[in-house]
Amino acid sequence: MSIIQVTNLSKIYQRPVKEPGFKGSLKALVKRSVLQKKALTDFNLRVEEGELVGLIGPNGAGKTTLVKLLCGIIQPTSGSLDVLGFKPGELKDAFRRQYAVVMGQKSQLWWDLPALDTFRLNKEIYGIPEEKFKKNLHEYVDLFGISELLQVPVRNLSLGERMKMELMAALLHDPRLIFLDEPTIGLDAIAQKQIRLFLKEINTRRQVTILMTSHYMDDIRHLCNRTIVINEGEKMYDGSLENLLTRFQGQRDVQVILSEPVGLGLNLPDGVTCRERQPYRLHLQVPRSQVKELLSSLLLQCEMDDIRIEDEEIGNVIERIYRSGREVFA
Amino acid sequence: MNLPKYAAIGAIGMRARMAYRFDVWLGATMPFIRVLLAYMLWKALFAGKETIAGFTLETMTAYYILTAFLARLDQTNGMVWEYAEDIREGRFAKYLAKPVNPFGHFLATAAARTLYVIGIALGSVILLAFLFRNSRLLPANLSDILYAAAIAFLGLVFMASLNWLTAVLAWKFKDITGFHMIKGNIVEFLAGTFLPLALLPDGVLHLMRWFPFYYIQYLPASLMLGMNREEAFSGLITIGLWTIGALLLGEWAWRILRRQDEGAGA
Amino acid sequence: MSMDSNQSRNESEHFHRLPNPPSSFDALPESGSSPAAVLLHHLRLLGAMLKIRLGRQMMYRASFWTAFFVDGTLFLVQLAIFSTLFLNVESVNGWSQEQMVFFVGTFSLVDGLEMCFYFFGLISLPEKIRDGKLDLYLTKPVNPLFFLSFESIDVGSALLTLPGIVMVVWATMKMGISVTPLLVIGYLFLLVLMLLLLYDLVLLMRCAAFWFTRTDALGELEGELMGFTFRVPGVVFQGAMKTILYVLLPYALLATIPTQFFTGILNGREWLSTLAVTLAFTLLARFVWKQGLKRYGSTGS
Repeated sequence: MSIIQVTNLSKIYQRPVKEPGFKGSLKALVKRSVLQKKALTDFNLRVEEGELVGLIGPNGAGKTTLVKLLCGIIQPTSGSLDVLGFKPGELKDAFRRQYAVVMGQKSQLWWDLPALDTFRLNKEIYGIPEEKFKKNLHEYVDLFGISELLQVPVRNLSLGERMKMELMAALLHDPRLIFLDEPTIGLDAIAQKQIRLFLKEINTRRQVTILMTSHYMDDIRHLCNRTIVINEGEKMYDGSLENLLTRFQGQRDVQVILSEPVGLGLNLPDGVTCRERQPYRLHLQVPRSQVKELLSSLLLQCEMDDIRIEDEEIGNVIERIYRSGREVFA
Repeated sequence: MNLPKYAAIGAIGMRARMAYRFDVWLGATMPFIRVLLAYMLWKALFAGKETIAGFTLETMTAYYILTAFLARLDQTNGMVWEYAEDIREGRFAKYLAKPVNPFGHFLATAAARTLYVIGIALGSVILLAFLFRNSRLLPANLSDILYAAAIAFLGLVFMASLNWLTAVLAWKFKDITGFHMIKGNIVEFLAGTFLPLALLPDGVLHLMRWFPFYYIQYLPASLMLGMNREEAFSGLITIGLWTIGALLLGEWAWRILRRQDEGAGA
Repeated sequence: MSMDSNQSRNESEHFHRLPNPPSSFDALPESGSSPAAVLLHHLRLLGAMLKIRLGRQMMYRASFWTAFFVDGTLFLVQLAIFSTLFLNVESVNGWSQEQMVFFVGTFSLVDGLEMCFYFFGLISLPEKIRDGKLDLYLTKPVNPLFFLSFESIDVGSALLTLPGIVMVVWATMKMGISVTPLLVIGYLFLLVLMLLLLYDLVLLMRCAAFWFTRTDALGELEGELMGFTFRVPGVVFQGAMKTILYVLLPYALLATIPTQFFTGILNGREWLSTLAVTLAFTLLARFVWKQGLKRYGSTGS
């Protein structure tokens, strides 16, 4: 059975609105109008045990709403949810004992105490037997190499160190399912990489199911074998990142260094766009199917020192997908 | 000082307050609750008595109506939490980055909030006077009113400065919660919010005239009731000196204490 | 090559693959387990929370005593008001000065215990609602309200009950009441009942933050009501005011009822209405909290 099963899930938020200015303030004192915001519309999802799923989408797309619904923090407006065989909204203890959630911007660690103190409290909350607690702690500390930091008050840790502690706090009770909301937000490249490695380990060796949201394409590229793109509360894509890219990375980036300046008379095949043109340098964008045609045309017309052909940046691709609107192609 | 700038600061602060209508409406009922509770208490205490420490039940009620109004005017108590948190979280820079004096910004915001509640509070006083059919709220003489207003105004500025000083102490002590609350408890008693200070023994009362809190609520309210008239002038001078001192100290303190900042929240 | 694969096998052994359902946690009270097990689990949790709390308070030695000093001065101020009043009057609605001392002592007891156990936890609720930190409480396998209420136990405040005890004992001796075990048990029972009622009241006030962003005025109202009912016994109030302060905002019950019981002037009807009001407020607070949680999920962040 799937570990997560979501059918026709919708969530609508109510938001107060107020006209600007003094008059608006006065009016709002008496009567306040409410705006309905669809955060999630007819969402369907199935996740099997052991999967590592990445959720991407622009701000306000509904990623966090989905995670909150799956945790049971908020209730759906309509549709059905089944997580680990439970209805999340009922917040049964047996349910909450089997998952963990890490929100990049909300820390569960006690700010002024060493992380170990929070771990000890979690031990009681989750009823982790002493032996298991020690064993897990030991393993994670080894994996991150941060044993000496356990005694340092959290407020004196760096952002990366804090996130490692955050992950440890979430994993000590051996959850089957972990929700990660922006786990690498604000971290430097090295810390991001360490976190990724750690998550990969947890997923492959312990078969922990991971559902993560992220703004960073690198997270998704290195971690997730399955990517879900959400935009404006709707699922736009569900599948591997590679497939997504082959479909949408229709363009190639071509950079040419010329040995002699080329005049204005340079003829480019139709469909090629010139992004930058300098006497000794050309930066072109060309559909994949036309790369060959472009190269032979260039070879005929000018002397080249160097040529570089690259995939279009993932970020650009994703941005284009967001902008392409409602078109569903799952 | 560039006045329009500070007026604009005040205006936005006022609008920010009005965004919270529940708070606004409930806040408006506070004087009623305070006066009603006080009235109940004193009605029980006056049982079989004409006067207590020179007050009749009617003047006593009037006293509470007046002090409930005056207490409402000082809105800086809550601002201390906001500013102290800004300082603690390293967000104070938002005031420093603007071409305004942070202390001036504080005072302007305070003034706006006072203006904002003054209409509602005045309405409450009139309504309460009517409800209790209390004629004692109409003072006999204009000079009493002017003295009372001037002293109450200086008292407000003094309290704002004192609260500003409390807030900026957050640079040095981080957590000023305890200090602020203790100060609040003591000031409320010394200002006569709970009891007219006339009930205190003479020696204590005499001592309290040297301190500013005597002039925040007690003396203005007494003057409005036609009592303690001989203290009006000396009171104005005393609170005036305290207020000047507090303003100077407030301006000096934030410049000094700011240096304690380690740039927290980096 | 073989070295590499060896190493990774070692690592994976070190990492033990888990049997999926966390069957190992027998120590936990599952739904349907005995009340004793549930109680034990919660007591252990309370212990762990207390440890955390003490750790935090030790970190800032200055604020360890904060609550104590804050309420200590409040107590002194109340005492000053109280004695000033009695400089000018002899009795309050037929209550003698000793009865009043007993009353104020009882109030300080209720107040000190409240501060010690749940006050600081509950007052953090509005902020947690506003910044969304409540999320974290909802995802833990504990009753979030339990966690929230008792995570900020303040040991320093327990000292505040000392002057209360002194006043109660002094007044008892002064009034020459013959103390029976039943009297003490009844008094303690009423104290606990009033602590529960006060818990409901504090919680209800904080729950307003689920619906309204700014609730300063409610806090002010609470302070006003607590302050007044601290100073004067509920017997002062009459008519509509009595209905309000005994039933709708029953702050006047808190110290009045235990005092009336101990000094032998609490009748059967008042006993019953006290029980009824406490029960009603407990149910109401529970209901409002649940509704609040629903609301929490519908506004978004």
